[in-house]
Amino acid sequence: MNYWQFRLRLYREYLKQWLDSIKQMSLAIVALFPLALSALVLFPFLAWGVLAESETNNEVWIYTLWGYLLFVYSWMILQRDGILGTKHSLYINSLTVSRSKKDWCELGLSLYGANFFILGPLVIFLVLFKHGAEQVLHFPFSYVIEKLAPAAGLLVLCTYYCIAAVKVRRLPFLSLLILPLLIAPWAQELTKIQCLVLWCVAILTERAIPIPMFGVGTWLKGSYRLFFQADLASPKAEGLRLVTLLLMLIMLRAMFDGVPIEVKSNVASFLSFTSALLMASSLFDTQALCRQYQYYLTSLPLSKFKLQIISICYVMMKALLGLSLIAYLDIFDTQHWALWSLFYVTSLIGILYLPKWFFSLPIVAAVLVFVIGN
Amino acid sequence: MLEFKEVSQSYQNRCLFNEFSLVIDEPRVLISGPNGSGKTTLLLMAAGLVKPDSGEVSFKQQSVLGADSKKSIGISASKVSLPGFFTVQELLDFHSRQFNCEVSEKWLEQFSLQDYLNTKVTDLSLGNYKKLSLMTAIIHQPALLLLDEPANGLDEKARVGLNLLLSEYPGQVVIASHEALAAEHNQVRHIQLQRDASL
Repeated sequence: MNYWQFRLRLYREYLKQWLDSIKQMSLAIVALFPLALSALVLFPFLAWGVLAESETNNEVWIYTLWGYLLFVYSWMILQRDGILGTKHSLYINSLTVSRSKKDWCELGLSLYGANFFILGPLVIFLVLFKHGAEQVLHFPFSYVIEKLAPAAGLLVLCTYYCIAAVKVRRLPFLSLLILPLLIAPWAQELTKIQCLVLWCVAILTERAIPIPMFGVGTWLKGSYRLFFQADLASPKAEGLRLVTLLLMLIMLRAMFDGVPIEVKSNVASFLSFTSALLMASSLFDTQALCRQYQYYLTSLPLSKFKLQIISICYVMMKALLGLSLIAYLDIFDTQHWALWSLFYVTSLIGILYLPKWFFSLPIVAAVLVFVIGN
Repeated sequence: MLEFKEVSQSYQNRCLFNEFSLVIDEPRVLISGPNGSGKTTLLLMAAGLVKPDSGEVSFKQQSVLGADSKKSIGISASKVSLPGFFTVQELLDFHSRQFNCEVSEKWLEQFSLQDYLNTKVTDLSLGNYKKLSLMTAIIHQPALLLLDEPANGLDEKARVGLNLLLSEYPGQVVIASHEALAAEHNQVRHIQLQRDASL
């Protein structure tokens, strides 16, 4: 077994364990939302069509590009420990393998891990490039570049995020969160090439400037601080929740273009249900923390009831970030906000009193709303 | 006075205590016994962290299960895991705030923890973790101090500190240990637990 085969074996073992650990969660998601899996598989195909087409509406193009890159980045982040062999890093470092060989192996594993998501844009670009090369003789060069730019931009950005997710520790807060949020409303004023240039500038900027550090300071006290610091120490779950919410919002925002108003309303109602469930599920983490430190927390002069109230208040405070995003992207009207509140509260009650079947209460609420509404 | 009144407790079909009764009013008590005899469980029940299947545990005629009773009880046990994501300073701040008290510089120095204030609890060595656990147990000067194997992993200096603590501590101290700790104290009561949950 050579070094590459060894690293590939480590990666595969990691994937196997990871898939086993998420099997139960995936089954629950598929049982709850039977179309989720097919939507997930179809998403890249739909995205490629939208992103490669130079005539696509700019707003739809920006949202789709954002969603695709965010999805690819998250997908690679989830595989990072397997690609880098983090669990066995001490052993890997003890081997007499040159730095460059190690880097090449990790680059190879990154591309191997991203396969489907990077192959698609590559094939599209090559096809368009071949077509563009034939057109150069008949059309101005700038026209051909304009036609090729979206596919080329997608390929370059996609490759960058695949590698950055594994190799760059700092999160792309500017290029994958702030920039798209800021330019999406002004998408019609910009060309696709300008958007891509802005994207590259954002990437360079976020890599050059120091990471903004938000110290906890002393403003947060008592049990709120306990929960907050626990989230800061293990941000994976909250990060995944935020990315999932963002992806849902981005996909909906992209498909809202040209859709009749009644369809928009129904889709927003569905989003109010799924986003409420997703945000309320944060209470599971808080409860798991309380279970993990059960003896220590019980040794404090703090009643169980008070701790539960504090944990609910904390989860509600965290939901404000997601709610701000929904409000900024202007997806809900008054009726959807009311529905969201109903589903959120019923989900919290479900988690507290029927944790295994927590989604049954919001489902009952949704059915009641549907029956009363009709 | 710490009192166990007809306490029964089982773990996975194994009976640890069956209608167990005990009154402890001596200032220093050493509980010993073979592995699995229930020493730690007895301390956890005394601290109100484990509710017995039946019976009652009280300290100064007050049930130890209430939140208010925690103000007069302090426990250091490996089963009581401390939040690992805090730094030592953050944990001490949080803990002292919960009990509305100040962190004692004297004990910080005695246990040589000043150099680790910015270290995450999860990154502490076994010995330093034990010292921090002892600090959290005594920070609010509880009337009842429960220590499970307090000398485990401690270096010489910390053992001196622990012995000082045991001889100077004004409240009642109950220790579960294999070692003859607190033996120098005048009134040490020895309680030997047996595997079959008897004294």
